[in-house]
Amino acid sequence: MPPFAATWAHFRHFARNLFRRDRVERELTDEIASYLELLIEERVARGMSRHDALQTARLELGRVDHVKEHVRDMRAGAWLDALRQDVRFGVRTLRRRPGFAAIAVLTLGVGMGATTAMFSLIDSVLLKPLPFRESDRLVMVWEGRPRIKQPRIEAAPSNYVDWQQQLKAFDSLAAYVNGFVNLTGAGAPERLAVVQVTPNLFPTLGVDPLIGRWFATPEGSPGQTTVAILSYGLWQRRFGADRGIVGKTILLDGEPHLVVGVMPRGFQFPREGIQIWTPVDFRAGWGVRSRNTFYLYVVGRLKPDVSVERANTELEALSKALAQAYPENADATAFAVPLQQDLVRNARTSFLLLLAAAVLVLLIACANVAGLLVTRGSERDREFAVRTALGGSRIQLLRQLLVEGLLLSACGAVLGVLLATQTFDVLERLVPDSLRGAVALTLDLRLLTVAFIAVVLTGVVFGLAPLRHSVKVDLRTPLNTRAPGTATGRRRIQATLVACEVALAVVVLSSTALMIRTILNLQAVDPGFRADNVLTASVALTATEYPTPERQNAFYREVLDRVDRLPGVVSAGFATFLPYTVLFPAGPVTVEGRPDPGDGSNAAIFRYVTPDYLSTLGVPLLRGRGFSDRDTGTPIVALVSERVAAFFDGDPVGQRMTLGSSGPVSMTVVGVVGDIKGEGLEVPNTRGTVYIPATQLDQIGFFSPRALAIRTASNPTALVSAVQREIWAINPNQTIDNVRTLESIVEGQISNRKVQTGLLTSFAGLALLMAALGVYGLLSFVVTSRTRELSVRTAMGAQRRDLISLVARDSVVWVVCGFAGGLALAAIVSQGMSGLIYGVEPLDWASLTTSTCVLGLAAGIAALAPVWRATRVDPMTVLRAE
Amino acid sequence: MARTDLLRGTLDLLILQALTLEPNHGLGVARRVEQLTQGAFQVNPGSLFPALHRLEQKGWLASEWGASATNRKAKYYRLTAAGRRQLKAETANWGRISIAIARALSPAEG
Repeated sequence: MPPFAATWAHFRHFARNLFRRDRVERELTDEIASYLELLIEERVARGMSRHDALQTARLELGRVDHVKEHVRDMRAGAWLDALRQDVRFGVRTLRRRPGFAAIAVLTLGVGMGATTAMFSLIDSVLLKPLPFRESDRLVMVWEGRPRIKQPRIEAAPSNYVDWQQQLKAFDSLAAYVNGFVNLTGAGAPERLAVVQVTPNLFPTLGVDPLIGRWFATPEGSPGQTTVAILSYGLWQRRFGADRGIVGKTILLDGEPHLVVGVMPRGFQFPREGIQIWTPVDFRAGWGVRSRNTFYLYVVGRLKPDVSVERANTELEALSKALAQAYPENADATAFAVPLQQDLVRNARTSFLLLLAAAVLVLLIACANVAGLLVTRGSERDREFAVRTALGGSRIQLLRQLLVEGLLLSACGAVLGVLLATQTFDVLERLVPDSLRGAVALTLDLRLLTVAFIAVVLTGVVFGLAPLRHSVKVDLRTPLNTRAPGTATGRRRIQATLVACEVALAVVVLSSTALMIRTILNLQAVDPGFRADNVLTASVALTATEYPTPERQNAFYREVLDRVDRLPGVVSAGFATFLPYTVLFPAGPVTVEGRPDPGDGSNAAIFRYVTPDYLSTLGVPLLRGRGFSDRDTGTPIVALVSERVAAFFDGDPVGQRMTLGSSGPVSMTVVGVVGDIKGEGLEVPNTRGTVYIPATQLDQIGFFSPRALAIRTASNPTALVSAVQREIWAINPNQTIDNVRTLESIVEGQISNRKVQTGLLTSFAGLALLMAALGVYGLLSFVVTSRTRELSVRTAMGAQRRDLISLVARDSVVWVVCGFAGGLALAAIVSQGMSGLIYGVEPLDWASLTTSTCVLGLAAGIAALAPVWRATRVDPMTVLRAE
Repeated sequence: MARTDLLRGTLDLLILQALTLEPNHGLGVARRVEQLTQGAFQVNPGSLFPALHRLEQKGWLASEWGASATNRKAKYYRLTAAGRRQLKAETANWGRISIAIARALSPAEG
């Protein structure tokens, strides 16, 4: 017979048995009935009376349901029936102990959910290749300038040109700078994030435009037609996805630009929110021919089969040559970092920490469920014994346990998936800016599968553990009494599990404590200014509308006059950049008549400000005077912060200094103000700041003041629309963006950590809860399994204290072992966290002690109920029951 | 267990054999087997019905409801082409096995 026909026959019956069950059963009944009738007929024909025939035929047929059962057992798909029964029985068993089922499912679900969610995040951000052609060949190239304390800084344009011409390891080397342009013309004026790129950027990344073309090489050079490429988002939103946009002209900062292309959806480089790319040729004299001004981001594509190490060796050699050739380059180094690694930076460590915590939670969950199963196994000794006595085979019992384990795991998995997808919103806030929008968090099925298998294995291994005793044990033993030997074995398994839970929980708790201490430390850092009640906005002027410093200063004055008159405004000012937003311009400060020490120790940041800016931020004036509107022309005056003041001998007020190395500017110090931690809350030694009055701005450029800060008497956000009204009354085309409070800018310094710590804290809470549950379960089990012994001892006159020590002694030893292991493990894990913490040592006794105490307290509370129960054993009741 | 397996295989073979001449209902099959084995095999319903259903599931038998000689409603089984082939193959097989077993069990010669 062809195998196909056999399969077909089998399948047909399988389907019939499954879907036409009633009919199959009815036919079987009819068939047996007809058999009986024929049997009777046969006997009657042989001369038996109908009554006798009926009697004997029935006897011969045997029990009808038995016959039917035999038939059912061999039907195709019989295993499905058995499974259905097992599942139904399993559900019933679990429902009989809803507490057990709920705890097991919750524990597993939370553990699986946490792990899956964290791994999904890591997979999207760290593991999936970037959306560029052969993205593993892309690297960022940075300069290092030890003299100005910058181990990693953007490249100086002339160095980039040398790299590009001389490096052999790269197929191409592209550069870009970030900026903003005002888009005017059709529709409301809009301020857009722009990136000025060398024309070879797009070929370097290997991404084709959706429509149109890339920049061609001479574009961006002076005298060429100005061109632009749009982002997909801008094209959709502003130009109605009109494919005819290519070849049309748009106005950027008032100048016509020809649109030559539109990039595809999802393309974002170097970060989310870039709307326009324009070409620039750095060799053709854009910006500065300088080796001392650092503003170029450089991205390169390595030649095939060239490793990052080889590129770095070549960069090192070239840097040495350039250092010989140019004195400005004396301390310069250069290095390449794989693009993906560069984009995610610190995110990596924190993600790994969170994943580790999630995995620990999953492990604790597994240990917890294992403990529950072992305990329950002992409660079910009798059930198994009864079932074995009634003819249940060992296989049937195994299958039953397996199905129960799978049921728990499946429910846990469903819960886990729900939890994981629910946390995606929170997790998305952890995606680094450079990748936000480009990565979408998706449920990682591979990890879900791995977690599920781990959980199922736990369920099966520990679910079957009790069976090892039950099946081998002489049936009469569990039916008559409890088997003391097996209880001891189980107590040991469970105690080990609890010790592991405690150890893992200590690790999670102490890591969390470290992160919480870090946040507290960061919040306690004095930034040097008062962040409360300050509204900020970016109001950038274009060179076309405000071509001279005078025009610009007239604008500042008018805006500040109008804003000052608004009710609720205390003071207002403009500055180049707000704290934490941009870290340059910076340069060396030299006291006049003294040489530049040349070791970078004299670097300072400088800012153009209007007179009231510093008082608006609450930066204190310590000596001398502040700025006024009369500080115009020459000599240039300056306010220096304390760190810069320390460069001078004695009081700097009245002394002269120069700022910058290429074309240094000379100025007179008129006052000393407080330092601010403007480079980042956790940057240990921030550079000092030099403030120069906006009224002495000599040319319009990148460093013209644009950041407006307004101190208000109460809630600063209430003033937003009033401020916009006043500015638009002066110039309706003026863009106002990035409106936010100074507090939110400072908060931005720690918000990422807060999300991480929030997640970690919830993991720690879970670990704590589960460990406490484990301790509770262990002691309950000890008490239950030793009730008889306890009652005998009570009857013999044992004191309450004796009973407590009897019950708790072993468990305490195990739990203490768990603590010891956990502390050792935590000490190791914390070493990996050194990049994430601030103001605490990785091996922080306070964190370790706190977590031990908290966990110890929780364990103690969990132990109370079972121990109390142990002292309440009533010997009469127990012994009577025996 | 081994006993059942041996017997089950034998019973299957006997049922197929019992149906070679004409389709028959369950009781008819049982009686025919008894007749073929001269009463050595008493087929009780507890093994007859599972065997019939199993063979049908394998595609060796087909069944339909019909009327008995005495006009009773009964389920009739008949041998399919596949069943016939199976019977042939199994018969040959059985011949070999029974000779081998007989030889193994007979007292050793000289």
